[in-house]
Amino acid sequence: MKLEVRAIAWREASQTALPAGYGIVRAGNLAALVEVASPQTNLTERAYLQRYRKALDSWWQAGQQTILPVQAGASLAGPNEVAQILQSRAVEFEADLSRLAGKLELGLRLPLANANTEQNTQATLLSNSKQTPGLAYMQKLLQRETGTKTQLAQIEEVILKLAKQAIDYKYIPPSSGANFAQADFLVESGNLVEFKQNIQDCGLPGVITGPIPPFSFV
Amino acid sequence: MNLDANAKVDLEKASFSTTPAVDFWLSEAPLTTVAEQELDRQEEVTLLELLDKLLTKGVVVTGDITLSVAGVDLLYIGLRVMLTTAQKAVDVGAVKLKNGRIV
Repeated sequence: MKLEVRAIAWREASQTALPAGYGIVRAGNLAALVEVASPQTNLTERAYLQRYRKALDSWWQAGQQTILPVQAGASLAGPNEVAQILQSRAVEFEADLSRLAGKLELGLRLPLANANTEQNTQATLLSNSKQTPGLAYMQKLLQRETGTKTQLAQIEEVILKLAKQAIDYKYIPPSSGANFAQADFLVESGNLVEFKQNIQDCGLPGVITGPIPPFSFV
Repeated sequence: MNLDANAKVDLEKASFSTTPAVDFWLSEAPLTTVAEQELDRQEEVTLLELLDKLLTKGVVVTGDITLSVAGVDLLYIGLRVMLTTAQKAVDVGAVKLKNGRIV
């Protein structure tokens, strides 16, 4: 039976209310939330994602338990192989579980005003008959780059300010043409409400995502 | 001295061959436990966020891929597992693009 590892926690993690297809492998001090892997599994299917969320929520219990989420893509031959991984990497997993106890992840997703401007550029280029197409294009390109840089500088300033109130943060500047910038913050569960308020007070028109288990900090 | 050395080798062999005590439990909930239902926008965003995190973040555990993932542009890199979205692979420099193609 092929098993996909979905999360790792301390051995005492609850097994109640796990949906069909999910199970738990325990070895040593650790436990792994596993899912029976199937060639028919489709990660993008809504029902599948709902089951995944239910399993994760059931284990995580809204931040009451510490879990290490596992990236998709690896299925193992069976419970023994999962147990061997738990055992061989026990020191690493136990250290992470201790470090992340009582902490959760909040995300801030900020739309970039200059995203998808390829079409805007084309439209301007066609409507502007006083300039040569080449000059109009270069001017528009310059405007776009300047606007994006200014906006990103503002975003980074706010993220750094928020980061000082978080335990840790992850921010990778968006690649050229990206639609949004994303920053993830690791916060104490007790400070969740206060930190959310800080994000709302920062004045940027973003979407707060989470709280979720600390995917970005394992 | 020799006895100590032999004992050490034996211990190493033993630790390799020992299978950890495994406790495996599988949920017996019916497959229909989570019914497909109408979701509001916030729930849709939450699901998409989880999918994004599941594909690009978290502990990396090696293994063999059996999943077929429809509708998402994924890459398989290396003999063991590093499964990621194409954009993520480009961002981290795992692959390079030339004229929109992986080189």
